[in-house]
Amino acid sequence: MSAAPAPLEIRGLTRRYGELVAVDHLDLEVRGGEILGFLGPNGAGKTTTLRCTSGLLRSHSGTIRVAGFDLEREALRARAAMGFVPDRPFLYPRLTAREFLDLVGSLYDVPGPRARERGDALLSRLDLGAERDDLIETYSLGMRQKVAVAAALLHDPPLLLLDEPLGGLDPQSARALKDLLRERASAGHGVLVSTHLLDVAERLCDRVAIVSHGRLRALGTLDELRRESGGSTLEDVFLERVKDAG
Amino acid sequence: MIWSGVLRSRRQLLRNQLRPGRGRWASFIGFGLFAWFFTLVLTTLAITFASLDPLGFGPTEGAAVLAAVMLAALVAALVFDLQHAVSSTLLDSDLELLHRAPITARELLTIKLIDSLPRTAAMVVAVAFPASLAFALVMKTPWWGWALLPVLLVGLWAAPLGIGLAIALLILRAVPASRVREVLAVLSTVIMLGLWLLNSFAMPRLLTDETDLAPRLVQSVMPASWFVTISPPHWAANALLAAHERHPIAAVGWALRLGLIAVASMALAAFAGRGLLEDMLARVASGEATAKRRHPATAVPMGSLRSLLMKDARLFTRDWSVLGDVLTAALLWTLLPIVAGPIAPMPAAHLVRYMLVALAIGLGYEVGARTIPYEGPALAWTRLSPLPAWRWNGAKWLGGALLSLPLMVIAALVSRFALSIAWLEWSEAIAAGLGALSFSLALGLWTGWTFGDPHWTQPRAMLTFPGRLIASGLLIVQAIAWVGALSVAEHLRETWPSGALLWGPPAVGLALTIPMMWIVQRVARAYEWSA
Repeated sequence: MSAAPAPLEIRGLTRRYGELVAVDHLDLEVRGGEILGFLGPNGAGKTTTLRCTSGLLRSHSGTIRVAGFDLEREALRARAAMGFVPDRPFLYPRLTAREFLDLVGSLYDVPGPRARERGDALLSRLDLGAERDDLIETYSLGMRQKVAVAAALLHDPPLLLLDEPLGGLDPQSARALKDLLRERASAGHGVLVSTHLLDVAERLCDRVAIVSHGRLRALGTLDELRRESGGSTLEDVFLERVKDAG
Repeated sequence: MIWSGVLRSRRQLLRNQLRPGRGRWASFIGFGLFAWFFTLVLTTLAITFASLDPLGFGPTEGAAVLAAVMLAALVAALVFDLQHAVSSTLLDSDLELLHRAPITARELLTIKLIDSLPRTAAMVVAVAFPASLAFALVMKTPWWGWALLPVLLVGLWAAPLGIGLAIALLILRAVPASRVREVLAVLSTVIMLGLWLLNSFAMPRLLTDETDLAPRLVQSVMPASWFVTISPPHWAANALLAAHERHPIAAVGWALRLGLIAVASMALAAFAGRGLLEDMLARVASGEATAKRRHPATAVPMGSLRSLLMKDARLFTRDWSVLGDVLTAALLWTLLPIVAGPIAPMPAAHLVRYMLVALAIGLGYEVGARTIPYEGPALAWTRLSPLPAWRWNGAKWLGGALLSLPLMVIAALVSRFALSIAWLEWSEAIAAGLGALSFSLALGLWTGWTFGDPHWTQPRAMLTFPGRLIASGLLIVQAIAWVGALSVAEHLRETWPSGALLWGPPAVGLALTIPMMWIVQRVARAYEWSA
């Protein structure tokens, strides 16, 4: 019996903005059951990578496979196999959280009662149950972020992409989200999370990838990276790899 | 605060908009259009002023024409640009930074007025300036008259803007900030279309009067004396007239009056800003402006098509500014052929037919084109969700049709009973309208994908500026094509099979819609989200 395909395989991904090469021949794999931290300084190409992977942007070269489906040739199946939490949520301000999740459920072919049940459970889990029938335009940034997380998880995708997901969340909600991500990994799904918070990455992620100037500078478990660079913390490793690249 | 540094940063902001990758193409088109419009106003009015003498009119009538043009520019500035200045003052993305900086509310207001200057001064620079220039050139204004020109133009810019800002800030005390922008937007829509309609009714009647047109036009702009005492554009025109007549004291008097009102207007804005702006900015920043509204969802979620339609219905019905704008526009599009009546008299049956075709074409722009940028940032779901582009766009087309059809039905029923045409002619008119609607919605979707601005703030400006120009051109082309085709079909009625005018237009509309929708889904698939 063949092994299940990796939730995400990126090979030779390149994306340019005019003459600027934002992502340069990037190779990356998110394995089933792991949380991969995606680190890098501002402008390193993290958000562009996530946007290419989610299908928002087109890549100029390279391949992206989501749960074994090629994003270019099998776009719809690849999209169905991932959930994306952007840095700024894509929401309809004049829908309620519940109406929005109903819509997302139908877009992802989640049966109606199941979508409703799962959406309500996710909102409650993220401490948004009481506000689920309020219009999203009345929500704070953190509450909107929670709706985006619930929308990304609604169809239980094998791959979850998150771009700076903890921004705007209070400590309680940040903890709830981290627990959710850990549960995803425990269930055998893959999680790729971009963050600036090195201590979060250190405690949450199974492996980390460090990018700078669009290129992969380091990839491995924390122990592996520490051994290679001789640093004692992720911060030491990060600063050294970024300095080398610069 | 170091003003030179602030001004430098604002200049850099403006300059950066012209850099590659930041809308340079759109900026160049904007500049090109501006130059074209400036030249058009200058030459048209220069010719107008030069032809007054042969018609037996003098500089007084010339000044009245100039004042009328300036007044139109000022009304347009109020309609289009005051809302922009208010939005800029209260909702710009850099307000949080400015609000935290150690500057007074009055200084903040000044910075935002500078930011909105290119937009708020556009009508003065593009219309009032070339009009004054044409008058001064043709009337051979002395050098000191030219020196008054900058004062007059600045006065024309500042007088309505200051008063408008002060009133807007006062309104904001009672209305949540997010809703005030919508109120202003709808108001601008209604005033703009109202003026357009008024103009559309007045002009054909002027054109069809028995006497010569030019004298009637000039007579029509001669102001009542009471109006001159309250109208800043007339003060500006009178200053230039006095300069032409070599009356420096009178010229300076008129200019001074305008200058004083401009200063008073800005002082009023500053006073309102000092008292109200801090409070308003705090309310906007805290999110207090938007009240909680609960909408319990009881129905079980449904399939993607019904969900998308339901979503659009909810968004439209909860956004009364956009809905009101669509309804207003629908009414005025329907009435458009009536205003052409005096120019080209036609049978009632044809009038009804063209009313429905005009409405259908207009709805392609009002509904079809706007339904894409109306999604806002959530348009990203077209790229994220596993829904084929053709299904998404099919739902958009269907949603547009479901919103448009009731408007078509109402227009058809009203025109049927108001104009008492036969049932067959009425059915043919509806058939023509349906054919035009089918294609115009598809073309509107293409326009929306190609030129939509998901970050729109003004309901009437959901497309980029070049997009609005191109969309307007497409409206005219569609109107000409449908009116031409229907006229030919009517002319050849005897040669067609029976009932051809009932099934022909919908068939033609559908035949045009299918390839257009194919193009739409290609454009949608190639769309890249960039926030």
